[in-house]
Amino acid sequence: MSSDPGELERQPDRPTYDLPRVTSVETRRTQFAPRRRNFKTALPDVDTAVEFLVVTDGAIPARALGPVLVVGESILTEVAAADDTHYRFVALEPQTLEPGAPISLGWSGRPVTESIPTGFRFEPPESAPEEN
Amino acid sequence: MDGKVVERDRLDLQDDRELLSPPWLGEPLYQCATAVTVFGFVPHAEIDLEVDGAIAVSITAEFPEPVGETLALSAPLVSGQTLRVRQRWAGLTSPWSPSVVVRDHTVDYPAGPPRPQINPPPVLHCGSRTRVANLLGGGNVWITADGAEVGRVNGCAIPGQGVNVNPFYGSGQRVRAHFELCRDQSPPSLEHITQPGPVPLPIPGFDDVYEGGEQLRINSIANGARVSVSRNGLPLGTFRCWGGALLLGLNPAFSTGENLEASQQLCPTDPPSGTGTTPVQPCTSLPAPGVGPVQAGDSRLVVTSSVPGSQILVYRNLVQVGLGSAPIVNLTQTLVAGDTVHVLQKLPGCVGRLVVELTVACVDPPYQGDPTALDLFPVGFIEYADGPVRGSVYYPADDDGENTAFNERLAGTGRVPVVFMAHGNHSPADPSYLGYDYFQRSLARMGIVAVSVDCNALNGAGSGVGNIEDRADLIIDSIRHFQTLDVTPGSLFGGKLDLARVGLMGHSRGGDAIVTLPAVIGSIGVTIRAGLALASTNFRYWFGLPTIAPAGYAFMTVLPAADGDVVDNNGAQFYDQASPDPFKSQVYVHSTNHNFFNREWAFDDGVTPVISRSSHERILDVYGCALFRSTLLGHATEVYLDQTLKPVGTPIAIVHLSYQKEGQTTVDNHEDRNGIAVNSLMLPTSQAGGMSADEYPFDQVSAAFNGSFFGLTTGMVAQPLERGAVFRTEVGSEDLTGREIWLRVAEVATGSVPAGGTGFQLGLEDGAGTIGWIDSDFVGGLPRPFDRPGTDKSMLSLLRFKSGCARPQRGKLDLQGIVAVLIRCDRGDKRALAFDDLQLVKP
Repeated sequence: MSSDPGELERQPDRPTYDLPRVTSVETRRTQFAPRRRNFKTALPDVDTAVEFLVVTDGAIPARALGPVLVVGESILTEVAAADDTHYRFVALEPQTLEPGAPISLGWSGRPVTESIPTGFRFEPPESAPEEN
Repeated sequence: MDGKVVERDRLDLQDDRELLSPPWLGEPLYQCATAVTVFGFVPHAEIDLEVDGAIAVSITAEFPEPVGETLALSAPLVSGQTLRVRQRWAGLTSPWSPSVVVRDHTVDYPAGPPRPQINPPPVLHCGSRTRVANLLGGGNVWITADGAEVGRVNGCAIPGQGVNVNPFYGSGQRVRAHFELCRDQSPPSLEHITQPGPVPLPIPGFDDVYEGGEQLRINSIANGARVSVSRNGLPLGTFRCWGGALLLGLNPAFSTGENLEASQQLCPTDPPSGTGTTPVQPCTSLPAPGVGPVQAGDSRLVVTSSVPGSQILVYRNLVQVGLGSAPIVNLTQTLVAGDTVHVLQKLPGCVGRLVVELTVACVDPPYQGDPTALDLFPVGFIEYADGPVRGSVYYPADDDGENTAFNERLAGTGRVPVVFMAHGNHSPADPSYLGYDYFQRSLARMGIVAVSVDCNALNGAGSGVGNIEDRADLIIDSIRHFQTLDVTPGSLFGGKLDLARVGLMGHSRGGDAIVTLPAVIGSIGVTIRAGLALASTNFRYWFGLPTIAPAGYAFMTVLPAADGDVVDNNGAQFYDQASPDPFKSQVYVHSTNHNFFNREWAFDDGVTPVISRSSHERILDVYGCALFRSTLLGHATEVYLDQTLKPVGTPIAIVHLSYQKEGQTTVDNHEDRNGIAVNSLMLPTSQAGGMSADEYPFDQVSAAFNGSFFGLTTGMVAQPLERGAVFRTEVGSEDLTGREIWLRVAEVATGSVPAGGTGFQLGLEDGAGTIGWIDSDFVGGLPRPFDRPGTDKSMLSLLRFKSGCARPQRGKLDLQGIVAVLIRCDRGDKRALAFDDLQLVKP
């Protein structure tokens, strides 16, 4: 019987974790007071948090790691998605945000150097705190 | 340690012509059994069975494989009786085997005997014989097809029994196996529906046949087929086979030049297969047998491959210490680390020319058992939903299927433990909570309710500590839901759940959540006994909050080395921070990815080629079952975590374990902030011979030795500048007799993985200054770093050194007065090694 030498199967495409392009960033002051049903959160209640409203040109991939917004030296890990292209990052220590600091988008736990510059810079919001 | 094959003629093997190893009884033995099964005898030996000091049965056995010899008893066994066996052959009489005490099966199985398994499945139309496994020896087993009994054996073998089926299975019949012992009936087996056999049937194949052999293994047999065998053209008959392979005993022994043929048939009206044929090979071709690992203290040898019907001869330091047969040969002496062992096989008139030679390791655990194999109950399942609180639950049931009744007998023995599982972040379009059904089934059939929580409402691009807390909150909601069901009269789970025995399993962000949960759940009448974080994230670490230190329960993490998502294997941070309450375990697995543990997560995210999806599932099943059986059912399955045993059927070569248990003496865990010169016992350390050792954070921080450390602890990196560099740490004066020295260690990754392994020696120094050394290669060896593109990792795993293996170059080591433990870097490659958690352990 003849033998088939076989052919190595190409590894299927891995999931892509490429981040979308950020098309706009707006900031506003907000209150941050997360509530849990069964326990008290480890996150602080903050009356003067700053929220970054980020709009992208596509969805951020769903994966174990989460998107982070890098604002100068600050890394914002808390984020909620309004829909596929609208994200609300919140800075719980706004005093660490440096006006004019460059803003980039990255992944939690990955080196800041891997984050993608958005072209936007941090502008402190003028508006009064809003209810979260 | 790996063996090599050598020529027998080059060895001066000394036969002991008076030696015959004792056979062994299939265990356990239970009251009411009407038969016992004996293994390990030489072919055609006389077997004596002694019951309470009197010989009860003497028979001439046939062959030890494939099923041993089952001896019918004149009276059923009674609890408390003691049995033992011996063999007589060629004028020799073996010693008696160790005595086995008859037990009451209701003590071990209060909810009834285990359910039988039809194995191998499937059952085929016209099948004439079926093997039933998972049996208690000496009971009664029978098979039904569409409810009618079609085969029975009273006084069955252990662990499985072939049952002839009459009439043969019809088309589309519903087949089940049944079992009873002491009139105590088990649940029936899983129902199998007969399927058409393959068309055409495969041509039977043969294992190699050798001159002098008396058994013929014919393979590629369809389940239940009948096999017609001819020898030199002369028909020998037709034999029923349960499937896979047929192992026949033939007389006289084979000679070269003979020709053997076989064909198989299922339905009499269908054509038989083509005819397979094999010649008989000469004696000179007889290979060396294969043997399992051997380690210090072994008094038996596991044979992994041999020619059927062969005698197995075992030599220790060239002197014969065993004569028996596969799969286990009892030895007349206990093996000591460093012994040279030779093993050969022998057929009538043919002694193997080739011998396997191996050195007895200090630690090389045997493959024995499977923590997933406990199969007691049928499995029911149901979806649950109460608003956003939803998921699936698998449970021990009276019969298999959706919404079947909870197992009444199990419920009658008391409440049962519960494991809650939580998936991680993924596309909300996929029902991720369904992806662990295999693991849920495994737990349910053991008697554990297994809940998988639907966390899809939290999936998508939202992220952060808040998202992890939301998940913990949702899991707690499910726990509360089942608390409510437990107190709801008429509920499927009413009065059946033991929420004082709760386990948690979380994958990815779910792992993060189940680590969070015990820290926040408060006093709601739930006790967490175990938590398993699989490929876990650690969002608190990324946020800047303190990492949660798992405490108050047994913690395990599984770390896929080729994880393309959680690149940093953050679960290692939880292991490093966890308290061993009563133990903690880390399972670092090469060539595994993030997704394949969940059946709903389709993509291979691995950064290297990875093992199959089924092997991923096997890893979670094996180590998860070992964790939850140990902590929720009280079974001794932590032996698979602390490296006492290797689970069979598991890709052990790629699994690297860490383990720590409570109550041991920690010599140094480097957490004391007292510098390298003082250990955790507050005793001094010293360095000599060109050793450069210091403490470093094992973490992704700038102060780390290099960027290859991904845990969250402090450890030691030893950089030998010269061959033979020594690090010495004092322990006061310790009696290490019968104790072990446990040490987590890694070869420090420094870029591309260098060729060839490395290692070190561990020394024990007594009060007189005598030092005995044990090489790391003698305890399993130092694992190589996983060759992961772009990210080097120094992941530590546990090496166990038995103190009794320490050998001084001169004099005698006083194990009762050990004053120091030493590490000697003797390889000359000057590679840096990472160490942590040096402990003196009572096994």
